Amino acid sequence: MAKAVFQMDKEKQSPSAEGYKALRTNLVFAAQEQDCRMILLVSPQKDELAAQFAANLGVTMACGERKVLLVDGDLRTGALTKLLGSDKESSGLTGLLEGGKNLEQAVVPTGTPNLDLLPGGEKCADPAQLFSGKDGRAALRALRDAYDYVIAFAPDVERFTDAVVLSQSVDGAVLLLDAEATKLRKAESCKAKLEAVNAPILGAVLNNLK
Amino acid sequence: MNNQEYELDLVDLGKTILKRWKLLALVTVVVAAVSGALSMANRPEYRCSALIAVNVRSVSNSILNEDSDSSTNSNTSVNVDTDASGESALLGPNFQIQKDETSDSASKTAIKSKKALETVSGTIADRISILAKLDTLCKTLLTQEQVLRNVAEQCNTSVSQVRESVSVGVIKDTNLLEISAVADDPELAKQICGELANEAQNILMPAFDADSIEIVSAAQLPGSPVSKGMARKAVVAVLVGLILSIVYVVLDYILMPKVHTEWMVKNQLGLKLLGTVPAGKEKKSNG
Repeated sequence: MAKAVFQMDKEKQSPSAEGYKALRTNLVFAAQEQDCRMILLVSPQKDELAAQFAANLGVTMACGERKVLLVDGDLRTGALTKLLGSDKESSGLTGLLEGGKNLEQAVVPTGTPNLDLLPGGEKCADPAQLFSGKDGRAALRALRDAYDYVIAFAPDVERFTDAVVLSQSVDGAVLLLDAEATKLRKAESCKAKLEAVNAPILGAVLNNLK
Repeated sequence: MNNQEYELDLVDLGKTILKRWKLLALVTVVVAAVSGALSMANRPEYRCSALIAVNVRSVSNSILNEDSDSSTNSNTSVNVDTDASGESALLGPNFQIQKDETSDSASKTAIKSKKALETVSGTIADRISILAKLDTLCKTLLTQEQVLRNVAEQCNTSVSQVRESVSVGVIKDTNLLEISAVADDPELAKQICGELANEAQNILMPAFDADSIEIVSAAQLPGSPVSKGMARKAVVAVLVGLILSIVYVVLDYILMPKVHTEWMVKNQLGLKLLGTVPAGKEKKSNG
């Protein structure tokens, strides 16, 4: 069983928890207004806190009996999968997108009620190719039907195009900005790349604010 | 929105500098350590000095540089003898004016005193003129190539070593000539200083019409090296380190600003801010 990294029950009064709750409120509102239930977290540059943020957001969103799926779109390193530490073997996202496996075979529980993880699966040299394929896009869209919310995590835009390609299959992209690390110029560049493919940008989140 | 102009918030800049205190401290310590190491690596230097009293009556014509527009030196040699009272006025602290004892009126005494005073003033002016020239002349005479060569031979060292180590100068408003020598070896410093002082006696006596060229304080073996002002250097190094690190932080802030405020997200990125999450005890992963 996968381990949860952020236990809302123990830390629900912390400033961080309040920040996640406020974000949840905005995302739920966006989901209601714009039918935006599949969200992609996009980092402008390499962010060591991005995977943790995705996990915490998933835990927060799963409160209130909403079924939430975390998708580890980092098929090179599997950062989110490593963080959540799943023991169950699964074909993961790679298996799902290549068409050989179904959702039940790919998804693993996280230990947090209502929160599942779709691990990256077998490492892939060209994830962008997988995401942009016809079968890949159809499989990703199908995730919306099985869950109330889907939170996809992808590697940073500065190094890879995976997030830009994935943005075509989601309802909205959220820029994840590290207040202590994200350079303004890189954030601008990231936004420009998403706008170039007409990605639906919902907004930005300022993380690690001191 | 893609603004090319960025607003500089000085308060925020100040907070950023304070946040990076660890970097400031590290750079300061490194610069101070490097400076200290370099200072310690330098060999200690020893300084030896000798004092020579030059009691000058006059300066000979061949030595003086004629000052053609000088109105005070109407003679080619400065004659300090006076006839105000029939007694010569001596250079130095013991000069005196004697009243004409045959005078029996206050007015005659006053006139003679006035003349004596004018002469003394002239004498003082002459003295000042001589002292002013003494420093220049001594330096010129004692740093001649031949003199340095003689000293180098006596000390069994090179002429360049002697040239670099010696300094000659008259102490201000006195007739005391100070000869100093600096070297890595205290013995050598003493030797150079002593030899040059001897050369000074040989050279200055004929050069000046001197009553005496007397070594007041001979060269002594220096007991400890010259203080290098380590405390001052340390303070300077700390300040340099601090300034360098602050300049780096400021340049980084200005040239590569980070998105760390709501204002920047909204106004410079033109995005809706969906939420802010304060820094917590997050685990870092390779993302």
